Amino acid sequence: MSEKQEVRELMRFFVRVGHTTITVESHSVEEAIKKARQVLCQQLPRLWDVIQKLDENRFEVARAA
Amino acid sequence: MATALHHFRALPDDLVEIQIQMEGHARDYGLDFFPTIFEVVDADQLNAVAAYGGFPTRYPHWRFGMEYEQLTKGYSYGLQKIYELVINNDPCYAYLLASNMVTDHKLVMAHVYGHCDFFKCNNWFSKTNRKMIDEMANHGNRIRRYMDRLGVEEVEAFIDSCLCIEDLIDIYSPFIKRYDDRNKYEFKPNSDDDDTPNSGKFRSKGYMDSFVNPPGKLAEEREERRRQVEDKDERVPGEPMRDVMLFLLEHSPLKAWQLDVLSIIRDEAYYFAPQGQTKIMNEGWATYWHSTIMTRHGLLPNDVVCYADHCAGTLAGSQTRLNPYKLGVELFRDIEDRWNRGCFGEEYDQCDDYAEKLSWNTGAGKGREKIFEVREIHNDLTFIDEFLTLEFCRQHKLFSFGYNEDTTFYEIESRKFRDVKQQLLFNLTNMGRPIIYVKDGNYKNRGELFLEHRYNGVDLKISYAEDTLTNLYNLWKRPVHIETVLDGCVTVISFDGSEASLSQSDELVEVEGE
Repeated sequence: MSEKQEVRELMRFFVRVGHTTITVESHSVEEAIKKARQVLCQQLPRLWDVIQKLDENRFEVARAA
Repeated sequence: MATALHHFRALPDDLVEIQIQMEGHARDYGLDFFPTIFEVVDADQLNAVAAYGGFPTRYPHWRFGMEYEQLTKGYSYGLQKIYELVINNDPCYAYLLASNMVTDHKLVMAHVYGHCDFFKCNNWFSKTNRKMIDEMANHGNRIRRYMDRLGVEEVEAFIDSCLCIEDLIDIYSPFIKRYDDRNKYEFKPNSDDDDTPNSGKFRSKGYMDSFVNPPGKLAEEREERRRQVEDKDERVPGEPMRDVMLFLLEHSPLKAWQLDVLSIIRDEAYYFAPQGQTKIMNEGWATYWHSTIMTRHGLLPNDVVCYADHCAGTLAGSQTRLNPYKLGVELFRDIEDRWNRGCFGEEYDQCDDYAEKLSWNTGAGKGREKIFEVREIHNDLTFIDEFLTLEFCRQHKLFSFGYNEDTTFYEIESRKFRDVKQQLLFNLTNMGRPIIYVKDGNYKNRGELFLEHRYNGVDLKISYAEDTLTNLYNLWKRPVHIETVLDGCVTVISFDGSEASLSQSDELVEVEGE
């Protein structure tokens, strides 16, 4: 019997936190939030500590069409 | 001016509440400061306090009146406004302008807590007197007593001479024990007679003097002291001595009250020296924290425009002078960003791909920790030397400028990183002032004072040098000389009590790097 391999599809997500919405590509919602943190830290360097400490439930994630 | 200073108002209840909030936010971010007392003053009082350097109890002198005039005129004509004033003391005292709006009060308080943290935690302030407000009052009382006894003009004229050399101190001496400790009160502080402090006479009434101080015994003691001085030859320091004021205190033939006044000026110079060495860092640190606290916690919607307007004024760049607030805060923000993204270390420094460096991000997250470390150990010189990078210079479009004699305009001289950084470091070394040493207190074996200027490529301004030598003559009572370099040649400028003279040798001097 052959082992079933899962194909993980790269998906586009809109991630919104506060007034900011960015688009990231990832395989899952959790990964999208992680990437969104990195992108936001790059774009808003002065809010690095705030972004790192944000709870995951502050991130609104929606799959892009 | 003096009476206006003594009627400060206590904080009204709404400001007390704001103070509690701001202090709470500051402590939550890890700022550490002495208890801080805010006082509300009007513009006239604030200018008066600022004129005194933040210490209303200071000794009287015309320079404070001059400073007060400049500040009040600037305020009246709308050219300048002092938003905050805080002093390095335990407790810290800070002054709020009564006519400010609530937004400004919040901002000022947040800014003040940044300063108070810097005063307490930066190592360059670690040796300063934290009870300086009491010490200043003591200084003021002592000088006023001399003025009452000897006359205002005589004492003020002497203070003028002392202030002329108040920069001639060794800013590193609080941290390095170069000389043996001396008791600074060895002279008689309440004596205004002609005796020098080391005359060896006991106090006595006139008719008892020959019994209490037998002339034969006094002569023996004077001869013994003279032999001791000759043996030690203390007036020739073992190595060039940068603390010129200390040298004068130890060897100049001044009266006891004059030595006391000179020691007061010296103590105050040492107290203020770290503030001159850390202006960019201190203002940058306070601006960083007022910005963080206000934008995240302090601002209400109706505060935003006023706050933005205030910040724009304070942080505005100028074509003619460096803005320490702007440079300081941008450097701290840059350090935080770099250490958050891991843009430091050997791997980053050796990377020569500009695009890769721009997008560098290891997620190190050490930015906040790094800026706290920086605020603890650096002064402006090491701060700029360590953290002003090529990328920062490009990003903020820094340039060096100078006066063009042909066009009679100030013009941009260079945008090159090396030139910009070098000019900044030059202006910050010894706070842009010449470095002077005492080389010999018995020059030509005639008790003349010989100084040396450590030449670093910038000639002394002759008029300033001559005026300084004139005032040094008032303190030393014998001819004074300074060796320097003018137009590339070794030159000795002298003052013999009546006129200044210049003697230039043919010896050419090359400055390293030129």
